[in-house]
Amino acid sequence: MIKVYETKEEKLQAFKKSIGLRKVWEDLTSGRMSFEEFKQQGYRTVDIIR
Amino acid sequence: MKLEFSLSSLNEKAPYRLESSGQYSFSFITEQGKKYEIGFIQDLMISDEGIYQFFISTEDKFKTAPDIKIQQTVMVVMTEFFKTQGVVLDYICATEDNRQAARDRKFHRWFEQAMDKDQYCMRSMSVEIDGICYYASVILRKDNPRYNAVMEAVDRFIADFQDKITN
Repeated sequence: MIKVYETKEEKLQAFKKSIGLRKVWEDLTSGRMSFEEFKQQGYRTVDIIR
Repeated sequence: MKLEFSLSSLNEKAPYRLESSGQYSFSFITEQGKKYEIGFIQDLMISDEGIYQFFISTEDKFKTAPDIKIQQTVMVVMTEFFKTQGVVLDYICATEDNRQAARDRKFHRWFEQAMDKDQYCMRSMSVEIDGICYYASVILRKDNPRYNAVMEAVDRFIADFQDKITN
């Protein structure tokens, strides 16, 4: 479902949230955030199989 | 929408050997000893499914000579990502060293060299927020079933941020 934003401010906040994913990525790859915490906070990623 | 990557399948094509760092990212080490991590996190900015933000990062800050195999390895992952017709990729270049414009140019070049332009659409924008210029792009297949809806949403974003766009 495509997101609908009522105001530009809502859209700006959504963009800032998107910018914030880099911090999540850095925390995850540096070990500051576990994969379990990542999932508990509602983030999703792809599945890598061998 | 579940996205699965097979490491063994990727490694048949990638010049650098990809390893799985946990279940969420790929890593590879170049001939010059630099380790890169590649990954995706679902991004809910435009839609509540099917859109992933792409990351490539390295902790190794030493300089190295240009290496075409880095591009080729990343593009093997990118090609695999886009095998799923309905997915959308976005990225926002890292800004910590103020080299985001160069990163954006480089990724555009990589993408244009490796992927068939007739099959993909890339929309880009640069937005200044709180004194920082962010370079962002959205990429999707032209035969994505949600192509029109996604592009309309992206274009509305760009139009609304027009007053903040710096170039």
